[in-house]
Order: sequence, then structure tokens, then C-alpha cells
Amino acid sequence: MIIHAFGRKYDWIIEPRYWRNPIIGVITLLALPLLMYFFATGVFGIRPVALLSALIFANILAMIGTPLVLQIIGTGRVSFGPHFFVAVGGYTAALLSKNYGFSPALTLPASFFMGALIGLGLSPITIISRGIYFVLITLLLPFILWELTYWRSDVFGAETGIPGVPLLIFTGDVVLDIMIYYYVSIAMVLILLFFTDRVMRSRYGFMMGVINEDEEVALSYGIDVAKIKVITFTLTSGAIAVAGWFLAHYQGSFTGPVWLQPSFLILILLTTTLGGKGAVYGVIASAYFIATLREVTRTQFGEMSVVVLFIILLILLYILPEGFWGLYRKRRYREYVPSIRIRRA
Amino acid sequence: MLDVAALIFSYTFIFGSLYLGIALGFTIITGVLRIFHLGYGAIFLIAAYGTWMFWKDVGFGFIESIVLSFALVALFSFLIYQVVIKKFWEMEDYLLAALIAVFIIIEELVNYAYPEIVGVYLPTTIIEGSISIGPASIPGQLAATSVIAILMVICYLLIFTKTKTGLIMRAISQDIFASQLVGVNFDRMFIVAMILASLPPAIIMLLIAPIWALNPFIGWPLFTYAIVVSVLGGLGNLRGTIMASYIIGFIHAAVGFSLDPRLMLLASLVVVVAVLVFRPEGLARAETIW
Amino acid sequence: MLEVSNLTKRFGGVIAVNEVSFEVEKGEIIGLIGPNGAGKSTLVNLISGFYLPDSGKIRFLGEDITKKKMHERAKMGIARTFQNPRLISNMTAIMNVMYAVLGSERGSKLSLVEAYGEAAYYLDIFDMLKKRDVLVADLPIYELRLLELARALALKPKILLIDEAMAGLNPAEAERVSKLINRIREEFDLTIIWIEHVLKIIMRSVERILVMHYGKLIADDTPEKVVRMPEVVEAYIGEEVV
Repeated sequence: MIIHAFGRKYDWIIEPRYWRNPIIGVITLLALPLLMYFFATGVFGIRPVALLSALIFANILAMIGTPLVLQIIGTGRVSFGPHFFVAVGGYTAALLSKNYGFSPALTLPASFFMGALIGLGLSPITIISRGIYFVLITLLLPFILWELTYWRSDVFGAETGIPGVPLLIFTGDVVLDIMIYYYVSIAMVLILLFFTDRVMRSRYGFMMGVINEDEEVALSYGIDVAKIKVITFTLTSGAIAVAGWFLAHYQGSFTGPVWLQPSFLILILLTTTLGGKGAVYGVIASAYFIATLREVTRTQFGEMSVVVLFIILLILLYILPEGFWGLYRKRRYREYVPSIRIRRA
Repeated sequence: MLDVAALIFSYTFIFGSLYLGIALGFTIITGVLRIFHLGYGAIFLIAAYGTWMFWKDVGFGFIESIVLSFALVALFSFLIYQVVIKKFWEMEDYLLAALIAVFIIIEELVNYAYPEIVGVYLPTTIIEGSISIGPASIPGQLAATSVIAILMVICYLLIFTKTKTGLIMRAISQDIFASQLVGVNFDRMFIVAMILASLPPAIIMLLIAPIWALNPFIGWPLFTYAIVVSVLGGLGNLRGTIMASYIIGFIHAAVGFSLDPRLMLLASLVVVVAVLVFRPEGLARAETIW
Repeated sequence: MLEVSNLTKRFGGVIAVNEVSFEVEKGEIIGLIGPNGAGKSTLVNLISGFYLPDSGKIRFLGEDITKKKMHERAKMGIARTFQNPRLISNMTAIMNVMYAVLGSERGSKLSLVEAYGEAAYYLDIFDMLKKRDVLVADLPIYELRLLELARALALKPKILLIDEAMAGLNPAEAERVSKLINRIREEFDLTIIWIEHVLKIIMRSVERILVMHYGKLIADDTPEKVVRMPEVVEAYIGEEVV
């Protein structure tokens, strides 16, 4: 199927024989909440509602991880500040809806736009800064926002955040609410996944592959590297900010400092790393795994839960360098992934 | 007016030296091993809480506890190198993630064992009370810390310029492949560098413990100072780190005393990010550690 | 078609290209020779846009391209091959030609499927069609050189800068590559600047030779005349000259 747009032809190869696995995956995800209720006592002693919350958190991780993987591939840089953009989206949604009465439907594009705008402003660093310097700058961004929220705590509420954000869904029935939140979040994840898949299979994904292995070759053969990096960074930053939007309207408040911590950063990074370098679909598997693990350790280990969680995740880094996607593919995953180099080699 | 100026002047020196002491180890690791040790913040926690543990829980004397905690810090650095750094040497994004994970694990362990309520306090005060420099009044302990920090830096500079080990480390820092060709056992050198680098933060931590409220979550803020200074100065370069420490010290003192203390870190962060965008190599723009 | 005037490029204290000036007419095939380190590759990098000159100008098709970015020059029709083949090793042969097809001015409007078809056509010229799905990492040097040429051709260039197509090839392979270069020049009406070390082969193919030595252009004439020039012989003392 060929679509004519912007003076170019875009092809969409429709091959149903490759649809089997994705369809199984999607159906499983959609059926999960219903399955939960067959296990009335819950899994590992976790009641269905708590498990569903964990899965919503998994979807949030996936909402951040999927655009992040696309960003890594498209810019050739690994950002250590995705949580910065989450907070940008969250604060935008919270402030606009609380102070100006915007509805969630309006704050959604606002969050995206804010994230994209800041991403656009920061995008030159994807071109100027080499790998490690990009890591450093993005690592420092959340600190800046953190300090800002404390400095202007009148606006941002410091560690208490911004309460009173209108909820996305409120039917009065806790169980029904959670189910709807789950479906909304899974819908968002699926849309992101679909979009990312299309991009990776398009001419842009192709060009990104070239850029990631050899920028000079890309430039010598007509690829406008700077433009691709800027567009990728801008749009993915906006997408990551949307996760913040969801958080704000899901929890009914937004507290930046909670989300600007290194522990959240590491969960996001592990979602992408354990998913398999450069593998978009692995992100879902690792997001669900990490979120479930977090819930399990929380109920089983109480105060030590964070320690146990991170020890397990660390061990996984050791034994699964190819990530979950590596398991699925069962061979060394050759893809267009960049790496950071401090050394001059 | 004059007292503000005096305060800014003296605190530039105080803060600058303090940050230099904090960042010294980090710069050495970045300069010699050429990795970004995101677990560096754990050293502060291990030094402080290790001392407390040996002193109060195990029952050793105070001085012995301090020595033991240094040993613990050295052991930690050695293990990090052997187990984490060597494993993920080629995969730098995994390495960074693993190092953050290690830091979080240590932080949470400390928090579990000694939450803030316990009220950990280390009586390491060398100079009681305040010192006056002109119209400015400075806590004596801070002044002592600054002086000790500078002495440490001088020691380390001497090590790097006058000893054979230091020379080898500078060679590695400049060109690891050429060093290999000449027969340098860089595995051993890295271990030496890691352990050498872990001493300054431990010393500084113990010195500021009485005046800087100890809690399990100071690792990350202290580490932030180390990053900001090292990055501004040029990764892994001591000259740059020294320059950057005092620049940041000045920014903090000036902003803190003339504008708003809450703006201090924000101001320096913005400055550093701006500098990095235009001069990504940092101020010193040097290829080696010295 | 291409005018280079007083082009100079320094790296620290070394002057890699020193006040080089020459002109290239449409359809010419020019050899660029010189001892190692003479600045030939740097000159090609300057024309392709990888380096910006410290001084001097480059005009292409009447336009001043001195400040233009690399990808813009590629779209204008300047293609180059690399001294050590630089292809994307994680991709197959045909994929490497595809991105060149999509990178060209007219090719950028094609769909991926159409680009595939065009890429196949270019591969076929070099008899590489049967290897189209082989990963570049698995191809031998001879085929890599052919692939580099196919890729360059796919950019639909007006001028082709060939940076040493012969290194690593045995005499029979070198002969074949030389014939192919001459053939594509005729078929596609190309202008070619060809850097080479194997003088014997390019002496027969080119109409004009530029000689570089320590960054300066010391000769610009027909092969027969250049070979007899004392400066050229001196530059090559110790090396075989035809």
C-alpha cells in the first residue's frame, strides 16, 4: 500500500503472516485485567487492585521507554534525563488544569507541546555534544528542575507538589476506575508502539540506522543528519512528557521531586536496557517485569524492598546482556545502536 | 556592603576548597579509568556510616573505627572495579546504569540500617567555634576542612608529578593503547587509582560530618557537586577541576550572599550546562589528567 | 564544472592542502596522484565537504559551495568513495545502495520498494545482484569496492571522486575495476577525479593528471608530459614510476 504524502511516496507493506505474534501480545495485554479477577486472592498475595496499579505503572514505564528507545536510535545519544521531560509534562498538566481550569483533554496537547518545545531548545546538544557530554548534560537537567521547584515552591510546591489536579476518570467505583485507567494507559502504549514501529520501518528508520553506524557516510550520501536528530529529539521529548500528563491526571496531583530522583531514572533506564538494546518491543516485556517485581518486593520485603529490587535488577543486567528481546530472538541482536564512549578509542 | 564582599571572598575560598576535595576522587577516576563513576556518592555514605557502625555497633574505639571505615571504602572501590567496571567495560551505558544501581542499593541499605531518626553524629571537630576573617565569620571546622582539602590536593599533585605510579597513571590517562604497548599493567594501576580516588571523599565526609547534617540521602547531593565541578573543569583533568571548584565556589558564595541562598545550586547548574553546550570539553580542554 | 581556487587547509602546524587551484570540465576523467601524505584525501574531503577550508573557494556548476554542508553537496551531485571501504556493516549490500538512492535529489521522492528496485539495478551493473542480501560484514574486499562504486553511482552524481579503488586487489581484480570505471563513465556521462597509487592502471584511463606533493599542486597536465617532469620524478624517487 503506497501513501502519497508531502510529495513523497510512503509504503506500508501489509503482510498478515507477520501479525500473529503481535496480535497474541495485544490480546494478552487487553485481557489481563479480566484475568486478574479469576485470581480472587491475587498473585503472591497481592490483591488484584494493587496488581493492576502495578501494571499501570508498567504502562507508564513503557510510555517513557518506547519513545526513549526511538530517541536513542534517532539521535545516536543516550539521554540520562528522560525523567526531566516526564516532570515537565506533569507540571504542565498540573499547573494548567489547577490554575487555569484546563481539562485533561486540553492539558494533553499542552504537555506534549511543552515537552517538545524544551526538547527543541535542547536539541542542538544532540549535534554538538559527543556521547558522554550528552549524558552529562541530560543527567544535570533534572537537578535544575528540582532546584527550580524548591526555589519557586510557591508555584511548584517543592516536595508536596501540586494537589488537586482533576482526575481523568472518576466513576466512584475504585475497581472500575483502575480498570479504565489500565485500558487508557495500555491504549497509549499501543499507540506509541505502533507509531514507533512504523517509523523504524520507514525511510527514517533506515536513515537512522546509517547515522548510528557512520555519520560521515550518512552525510556523504545525502542524509541531513542534523535535521533527523533535531526532529527525533523534539518529538520524543514531547511523547515522554505525555507520560507526565498521565501521571498527573491519574494520581490527582503531581510531585516533581518524587519523579526527579535517580531511582526513577534507573527504572526507566533498566526498562530500555533490559528490553534489549535498540529493541522497541522488549521495552514492554521489561516494563511489565520491573513493575511486577517492584510490587512483589514491596509486599514481600517491606522496608528492604528497594534494596532487593535493585539487587535483582543488577543481577539481571549481568545475566541478560541481550535483554528480554535477546531471549525472544535467540541470537545476537544486530541493530543500529549507538554507544557512549568517554575514551578516545 | 563590605561585609558581604568579605563573606563572598572568604566563602569562595571555603566552598571552592570544599568542592575540590569532594571532586578530587571523581576526577581521578574519570581521568585515569575514563569512566563516569556514577556510584561515587556511595563512598561518602560508606565513610560516614561505616565509622558509625564500627564505633557504635561493633564497639571499636573512635579512631579505629575511622581507620576501619577507610578500609571498607577501599574494599568497596576495589570490588566495584573487579565486579562491575570490568564486567561492563565495553558497554558503557550498562556500566552507568549498573553504577547508579549500586549507589541506590547502598543508599537504601544505609537508610534501612540507620534511618535519619537514629541521629548519627560523628565528633570529628578539629576547630571549635568560629573564625573571623575581617567582618566575615566562618565556622572553624569549615576552615579546617578547606585547608585539609588543599593539602590533600597538593599531596595528590605531588604523587602525580613526582612518583613513578603517578607518572604511569598520567600516561594511561593520555593514551591507554600506547601505555599498553609500553607494558603497563593497567589492571593494577586502575585498582590503585580507584583506591587512591576513594580517600579524599572519605576524608572530606568525616570532616564535614559534624556541621553538615548527616542523613542517608546526602550521597547524591554531594555527588552532584563532584559532577558539576568535574564537568565544568573538563572531565578527568585536575587543573580544570581546581579552576572549576573555585569558579563554582564563587558562584555559590556570590549568589548565596547577595541574592538568594536557594538559588545557589540552580545558578551553578545553569552556568555549567551553558558552558557545556558551547565548550563541551570543559574549561581546561585537556587530554589528560594533568 | 568544478573550480577549486587557492584552497588551503591546516591541521595544527601541518599544511595539508596548500593553495591548490585547478578546474575540471564536464566529462573529464582526471587522475590525482602523489606520495603518501601529499594531501590527496584531504583535498577530496574538502571537495565533498567533510572539511571546511581555511581559505580558498570551491565552485561547482557555477555555484559557490565553499560553505555548503556535506549532505547538500551530495544532493547537488558530488559523490565519493572511501579509501578504506566505509559501508554500513550491519546492513546488506542492497540496503547500502538503497540509502544512496534515497539520498539523491530525485531519489528522495521514491518509496522504499521503488528504491529497492533502483538499488537492484545499480548492483546489477557491477554484477553484484546475486549478493544483494549478503551482509556487508561478510563480503570480501573486491566486492566491497564494487559496492562502494555502486553506492556512489546510486546517488546519481554529476562528479565522482574515487579515493583509491585498487588497494587490496590483485591485478586481475584491479583490471576489472578499472574497466568498470571507464564503462560507467561513458554510460552515465560522469566526470571523475580518481586518486590512485597504482599509476600503471590509471595512466591509461585518464586524460589529465594532477600531482600533489606536501600539499601543493606541482603538476597538472597530460600523463605523458607529467611523467617526464623532473619535480614529479623527484617526488617519487624510490617509487616505481610507470
